[in-house]
Amino acid sequence: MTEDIRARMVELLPRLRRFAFLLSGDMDRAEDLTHETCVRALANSDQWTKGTRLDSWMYRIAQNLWYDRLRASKVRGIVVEIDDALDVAGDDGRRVVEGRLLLSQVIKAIGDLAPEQQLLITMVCVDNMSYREAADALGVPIGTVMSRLARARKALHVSMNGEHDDHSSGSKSMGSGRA
Amino acid sequence: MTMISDEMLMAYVDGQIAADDRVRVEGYLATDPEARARLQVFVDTGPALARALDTATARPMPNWLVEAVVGGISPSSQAAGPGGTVKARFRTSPAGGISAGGLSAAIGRGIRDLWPVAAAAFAATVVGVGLGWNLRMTGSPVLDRQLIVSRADGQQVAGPALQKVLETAESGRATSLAGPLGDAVATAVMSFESQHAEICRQYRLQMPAPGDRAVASFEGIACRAVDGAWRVDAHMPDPARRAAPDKISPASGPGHSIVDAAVDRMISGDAFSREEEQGRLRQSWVKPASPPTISPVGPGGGPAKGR
Repeated sequence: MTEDIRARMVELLPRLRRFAFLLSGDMDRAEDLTHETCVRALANSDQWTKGTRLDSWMYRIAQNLWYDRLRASKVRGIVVEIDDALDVAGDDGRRVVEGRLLLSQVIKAIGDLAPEQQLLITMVCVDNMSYREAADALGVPIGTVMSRLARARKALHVSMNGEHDDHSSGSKSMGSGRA
Repeated sequence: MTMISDEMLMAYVDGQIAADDRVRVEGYLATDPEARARLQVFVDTGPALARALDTATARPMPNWLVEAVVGGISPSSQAAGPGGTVKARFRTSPAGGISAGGLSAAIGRGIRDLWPVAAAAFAATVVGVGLGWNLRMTGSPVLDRQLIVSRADGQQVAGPALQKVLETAESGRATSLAGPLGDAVATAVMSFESQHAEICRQYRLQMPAPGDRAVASFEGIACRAVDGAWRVDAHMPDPARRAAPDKISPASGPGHSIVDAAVDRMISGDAFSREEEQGRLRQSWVKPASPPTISPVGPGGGPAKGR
């Protein structure tokens, strides 16, 4: 049973680390956070209901740890060593540059989102889950997932570009967002 | 005029839009000058974000982190906290499963990239080698979903295109799948029967990597479930083997890949010979259902010759 959860955790490691990177903006920090998250999750594995999704449960643990840490150190939005992380990442200069432009802004902007929005964006945009899967993972209707996700991405985009114009004037969300 | 909602535009970018909505969105994109700007919001926060993030987080998973989860970490490097008691329980598993010792031995053999090794250690007992790797392979969600999809129960199965290849293509024959960024190439590498008496096939996927010449490659193992779905039991990026869709190779020997190693553990007996495989293909692997591809060609309606 513990073995089972450990095995699944190993499978989740790449995703967890990526999520931790999105929160922390630095690979070393991301790996530390991933480690802490696994330790915490193993210690509390009795709180995880078998048959429910392990990924969203662990994402939440990571978020809690990260925000605890931020509060504790009173550091806000650490975005320092992103460049290092990117240098490690790629040999293809062009992509690295693309990434550099985008990522430092993105990570800052992600930090401004609500935890629930971070989770949604990660699961759908980064982990490539379908809306249906995300809805199941979060226990909300699919329409809610879509309206929340669209809103979160617009907020992210505005924040990423440091702008406040909003193209949404003509748009409508389908449901009454918060359900 | 019809109002195109943000949700619809988003679903369009994410490749999750219904067919009739797609037509409406495309009409809107073609005519309304505001459309592109609205669309861009979801491109930037979707595929573009994902690619940048993949690039930034590409470094190999460090040994200590994998070991910490598997249970072989020394208490000193364990973070302070209530995690200490749990790991002691994870020594060995029965039936030749994972042990911290086995993993260390694998490390000791000097294999560079520990993460895949750890994944291989799991292959024996656990269904799913490295499925945590992202399934975003081509840069196009639409094409990715043709290859591998996650079902609602969390199980990953072959998407329509890969399914078709696994179901109908002979090993070694490459199939091109057109995508917006270039063609992905899917090849079944070999077929075998697993120790659980399932038909399994090793496959290889070669992807057009956007923006550079290199071809990204993935390989994995899918097994045919009773309902006809091909369950993806292993799937990993395969940096070692770049180009050439090589010949059928029931791989053995020191140079072989993680997925090859997983095959070794799963296989019962030998890989199918070409004739065996052809026979199985003709019967759509198990029962003589009737997949679209099979049409008896020769006169007489049956296999013309025994082998």
